[in-house]
Amino acid sequence: MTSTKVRAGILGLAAVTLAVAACTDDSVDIFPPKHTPVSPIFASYVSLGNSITAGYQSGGINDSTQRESYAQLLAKQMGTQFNYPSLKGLGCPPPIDTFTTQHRLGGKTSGDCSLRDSTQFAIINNVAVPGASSIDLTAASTYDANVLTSLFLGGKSQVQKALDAQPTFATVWMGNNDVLDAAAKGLAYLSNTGNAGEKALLTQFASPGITPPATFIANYRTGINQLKSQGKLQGGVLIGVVNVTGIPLLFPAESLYTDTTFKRKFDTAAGGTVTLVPNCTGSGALLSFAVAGLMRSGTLPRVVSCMKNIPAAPIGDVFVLDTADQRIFNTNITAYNAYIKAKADSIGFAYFDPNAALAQLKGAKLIPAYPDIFSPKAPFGAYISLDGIHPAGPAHKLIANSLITLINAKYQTSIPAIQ
Amino acid sequence: MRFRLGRSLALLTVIAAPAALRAQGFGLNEIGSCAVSRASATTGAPCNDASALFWNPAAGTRLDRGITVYGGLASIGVRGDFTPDFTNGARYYRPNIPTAFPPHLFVNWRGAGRYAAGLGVYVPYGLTSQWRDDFPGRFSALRASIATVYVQPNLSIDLTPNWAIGGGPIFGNSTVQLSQSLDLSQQKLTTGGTFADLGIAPGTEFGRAYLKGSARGYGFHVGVHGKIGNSLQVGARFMSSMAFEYDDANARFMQLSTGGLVVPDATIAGRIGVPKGTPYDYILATQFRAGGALVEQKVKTTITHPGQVQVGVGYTAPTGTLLSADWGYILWSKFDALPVNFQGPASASSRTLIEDYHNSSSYRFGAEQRFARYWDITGRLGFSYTQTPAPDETVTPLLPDMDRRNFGAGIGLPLGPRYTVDLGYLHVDTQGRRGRTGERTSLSQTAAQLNNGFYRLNADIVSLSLKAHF
Repeated sequence: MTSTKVRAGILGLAAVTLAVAACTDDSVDIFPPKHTPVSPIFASYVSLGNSITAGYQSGGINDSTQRESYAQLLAKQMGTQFNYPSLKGLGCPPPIDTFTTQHRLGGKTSGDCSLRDSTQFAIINNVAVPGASSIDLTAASTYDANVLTSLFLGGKSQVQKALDAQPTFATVWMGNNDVLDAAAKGLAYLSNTGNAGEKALLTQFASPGITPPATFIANYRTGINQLKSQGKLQGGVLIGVVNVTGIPLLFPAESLYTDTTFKRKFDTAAGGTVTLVPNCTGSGALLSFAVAGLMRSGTLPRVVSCMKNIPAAPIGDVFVLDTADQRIFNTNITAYNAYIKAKADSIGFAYFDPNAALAQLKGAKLIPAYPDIFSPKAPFGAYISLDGIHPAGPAHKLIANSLITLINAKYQTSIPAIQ
Repeated sequence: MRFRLGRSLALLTVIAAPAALRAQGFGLNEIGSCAVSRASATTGAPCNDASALFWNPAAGTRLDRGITVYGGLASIGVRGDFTPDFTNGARYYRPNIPTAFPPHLFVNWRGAGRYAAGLGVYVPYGLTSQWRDDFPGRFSALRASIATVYVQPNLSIDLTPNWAIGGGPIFGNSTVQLSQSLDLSQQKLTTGGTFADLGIAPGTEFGRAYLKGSARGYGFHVGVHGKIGNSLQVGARFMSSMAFEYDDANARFMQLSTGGLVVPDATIAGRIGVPKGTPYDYILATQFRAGGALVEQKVKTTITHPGQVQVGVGYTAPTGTLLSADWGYILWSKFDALPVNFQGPASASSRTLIEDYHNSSSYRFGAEQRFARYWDITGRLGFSYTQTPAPDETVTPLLPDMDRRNFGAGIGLPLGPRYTVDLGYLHVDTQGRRGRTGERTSLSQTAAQLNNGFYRLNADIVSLSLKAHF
């Protein structure tokens, strides 16, 4: 009888104890909003590349332009957490906001840099760096390194930084800068050229020249292999190199001869009347709009010629791509892209050719054949930013949607398109 | 080199201090196996052993006449993990905490009169927190241990047959050992800002800091105990806070490789004052040599161990079942800030850390029943709920403290007329809590801004004690 009472007492105490336990405050701080990717393969997405992927626009980059990067848009549609190395203040450098005056945000100059927002994340997903070329995939400090290389990667290479995020999915858009600078300066010379004259021009105009395909392929192969070395990548997209002869900065030289209004505006940009040597009509040559600034500063004479060294060197050679030069670029870029596609196929990644989209925009006249020099906000149309090279917000959206279509088809996923 | 030691050294010492403080926040009350079993509901109705000198210093006269000795130790196993937000829940970090074995020893002598005298040696506050080398919060604490031993002579006096008082001075000795990683991103540049502004990622380890120190403190502990009729008893105790001044602590440093980081470009290299391509390891090495800031030096800090208040009531049912309920109150509110003063090259980095702890309550319930028909075994159960003193902004790698529910059970097994073995078990259960791995540098920083992940924590205590009566 006694032990029954004891058991009852113990049970009663246990009941009281449990009741008290149940009444205690079980509230738990909520987790931050969870990112639920549309597919597990997007659990950790990283983007490698250069200025386009980083979000560089209008000759500058800041937090606003970083947010417009196609990679950022793609990650948002994937539903995955995506950290980027946010820049402080007006940017590094602040982008141009008025084309006609080349005025930058806040009246800043191209040398201004507000550095990085140090409160941001230790692990970043967008490791692309403006100015980076194929060698920068695996090298921390190269010819291409600039202040953004430090700010974004902190002494690591792009692949090292990407691996910190233990990526499950990656996009790589690398190679544009292996040809861009040379194209923008009309220097169709390989970086390993043995020609003394070509070397001198590359030095004079501070251009690395064109990366030889063998070098590009070796750099690219090393980068992709290292990226895959962690063994967690489940998919990705390798993006081909833009055919830089198609960028809006380069326009048909002939248009200066045939469109007097455009010629008048170009004279204004060049700071005076530009003499046209009568050898461009029907030449198919492309002129880099960048030459206008050098003419204005007096670095180059105000003369346009479409034949090398006529009337005098380096006129007709620099900032001009004749058809032979264009073939050189086409040949090398074709070789790059053939390798990139083959590499994508070999590792089960998708391959995206950006040149089809660029051609489509040009065909639809959404990118003008030559710039509207007196337009302060859209001289290259709505899809190209004020530097004539880098995509503007609408183009990033277009790229992101193209990638979404490609990824969904390749990996049977259902990333929603950006509306 | 145009940079100087910034936050890391300050952090270092800090570790020590918070380590101790927060350790107290995680005080598990493992003093005596009977008390463990009853979830520390032992002030109103003290256990019938000499550990009563801690739980109620007046209870010495409630113990059997003669000499009572009670000694043993507890094993404390702590488990937990931290899930950083950036891993999207896919990865968590577990600590690597060795099992701790804090001892306890009490002796009480009660004569034929109204007096009893005794001595208690116990560890009221102690903790080892130890994380693995890849833990993101290692820059706050990689390893921290504190052990504070209190020695308490005690005198109990029966004022009346039913009411007793007691108390005594406390002599405390505290030792602290800490190590933390040094974060390059937090180092300051003389040109303004930190290396993080230059792109060095938070969590770029370039060294380790070690601190070791000891201090003594003094306080007192008093209690009162009363019987009301045959079935009710009440009690209360107050243990004073004790200040431990670590005036002669040593800080040492060791450089670690940044993993081959170099200064990539000329612009940033110019800001630091080195050529482009210079390895950061080379730049930082000067800080660890004579003339640098990261050389062995002294550091001072003061850690005040909080006072404790506990009141309780016990009821003995007609069945012989003892039921007890206590309320404990730990006086944490003094710990709103913690000064840290370097005595060497890093003296400019001396600072005051933000703790902002609050006083906290605990609610304790226990039961005890003797089973005469089963080898005279005594069975015990307990439950307690403990509020955390740590605000949402101070949930850190040193002690990611959180509200706790403690479930206790145990037995007492007589071994002849003189000896009894007590075995107690306590499971500490928590619900997890958001916390941070970085430092709080301003009161204006909110938990939402600071916290970057989720901590989970629980513990198991097994306590074994031997009681002897002569």
